Amino acid sequence: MKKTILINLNNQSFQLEEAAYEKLAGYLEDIKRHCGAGADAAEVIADIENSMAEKLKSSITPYKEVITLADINSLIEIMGTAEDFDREVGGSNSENSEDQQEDASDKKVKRKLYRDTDNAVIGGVAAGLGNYFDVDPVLFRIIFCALIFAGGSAFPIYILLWIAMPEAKTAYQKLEMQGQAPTLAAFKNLAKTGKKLQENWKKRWQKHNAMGKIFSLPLIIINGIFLALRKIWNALWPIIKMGFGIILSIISFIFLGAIGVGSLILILYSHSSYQLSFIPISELTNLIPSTWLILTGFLSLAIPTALLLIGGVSIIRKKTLINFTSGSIMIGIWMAAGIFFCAFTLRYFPEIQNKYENYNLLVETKNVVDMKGITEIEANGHLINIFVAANTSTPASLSGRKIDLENIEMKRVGDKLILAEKILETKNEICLNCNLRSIELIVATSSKLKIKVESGASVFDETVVIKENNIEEEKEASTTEKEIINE
Amino acid sequence: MEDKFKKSLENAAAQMRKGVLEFAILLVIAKKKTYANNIISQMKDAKLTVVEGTVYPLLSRLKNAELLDYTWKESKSGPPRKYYTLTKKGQQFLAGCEEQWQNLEKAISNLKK
Repeated sequence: MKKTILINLNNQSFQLEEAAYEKLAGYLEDIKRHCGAGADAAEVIADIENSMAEKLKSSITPYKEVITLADINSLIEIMGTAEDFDREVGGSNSENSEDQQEDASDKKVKRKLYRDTDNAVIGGVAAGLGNYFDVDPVLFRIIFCALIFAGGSAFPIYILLWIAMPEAKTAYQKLEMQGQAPTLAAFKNLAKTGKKLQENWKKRWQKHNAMGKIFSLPLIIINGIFLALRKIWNALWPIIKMGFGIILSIISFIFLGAIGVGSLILILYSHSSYQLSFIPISELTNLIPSTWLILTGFLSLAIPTALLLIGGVSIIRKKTLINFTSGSIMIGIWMAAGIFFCAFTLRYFPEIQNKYENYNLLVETKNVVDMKGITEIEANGHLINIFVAANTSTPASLSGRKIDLENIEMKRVGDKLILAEKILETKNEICLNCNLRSIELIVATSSKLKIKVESGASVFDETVVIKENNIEEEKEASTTEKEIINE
Repeated sequence: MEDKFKKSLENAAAQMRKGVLEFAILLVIAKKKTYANNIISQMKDAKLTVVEGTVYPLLSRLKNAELLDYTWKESKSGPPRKYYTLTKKGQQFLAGCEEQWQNLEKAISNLKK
């Protein structure tokens, strides 16, 4: 695999191998030097570029889209080098071409900020900054060290810069980093200087005097540590990445399946007679465009999950499985679905809430119970709570949701009030969250009552609690009352 | 030694070509107005060794000397091309060149006898 560079030659785009690009850039630089400056030179160069573009077009086939170094070499052979130009044309431009040659060799272009990993201690951030501002990177290293000791703010700054600054990988980027024009001479020069990090440090070490050696020793040690760490990281990273990819794929796959099945169930059951907390689901879904709600909800959950799945599989297969266009389309659909889903939810939530709260079976009701002549209460069932109020003026009442009250049978036998849970008739419908809640019978203490509870029914006696808190003397009375209750 | 000889011969040939290159270009354009790539291929057909890139600076120079003029013309394949024509001055210049060339040819053949 080789990197290609896209260029614009006379308004036509070409993909060049990196080496071919370097050769071509150097060649055109040389030709420009030969032609000198001015409008005429620009015209000649445009003509030459035009002709080169025409020739390069012919060397592209459907099977060979990239211009190779060999293509450029043969092209230059046809067009002639700058030396050929000098020899064959000579003339008006030759006098000033020598002066320009000197200028061009150290011609400076605008520097670009890259990480200089060839001269790195850790990530090449300081070396890159040094290149950019054209000062000794030691300056930045000292600043970073000082910042570490002064509160440690250097650490996040360094990491941020490490991420933000791209590494100067190609020869072209390295020249950009040093602010050199990409001439042939510059490329040759670059090839001559050491490329390996260790070699660079070795060279520097040899150059330093004793004082310099002492200063650069810690840098070299840190560099060694980081090189070792990077080696370990490089060895472990593929394993971590693969594991991450597998876990991500599995989780997102399961989640995607769950979302799909869930949505399908919701759609299929949205018009059925199934119940949700005693409300038939169809009554709720009739209020809202449920299909749209489910569809947009599905999309806004499923698309990011699908993207995660694609990401996971891409990591495992070491190949990007989605291109920019389809990714953008998916994200576009996702955003639209999300907006619609939120809008639907906000629009219809009050109606559903209203329906739910005012559904007649779910409304809290309170029925007054006639206690005239009742001396004994018998409660049967764990959903029944009997509450003995301290306030004697409290009227006796039975309260709870309508559905819960319907579940309780109340009858009078002589002076006895009997409360009992009905045995629920099983309906054919499946009901979600249809648990009955307990009901409350409130009676006042004034009526001397005998209360009998069975199979889980419970009694809360407010009078007992109050009396216990109040005076010790009355304790006797309360215990006697308790005895009555437990009989 | 061999190398040096070869080089000096090459140099002599280049010097000679340099002298006639402008003449050759004018000759081609005089026949019919045409564009750079066609000029090059005609010169190649005539077995005149030519370094393609050098034609462009020469055309520019001739144009600056007002011996040539050009117009842009659409091409069927690719970007528009410059079609060169001779100016009046160019025709006079060409006539002068032809006369000089005949003189040269005569002189050389006389010397060869």
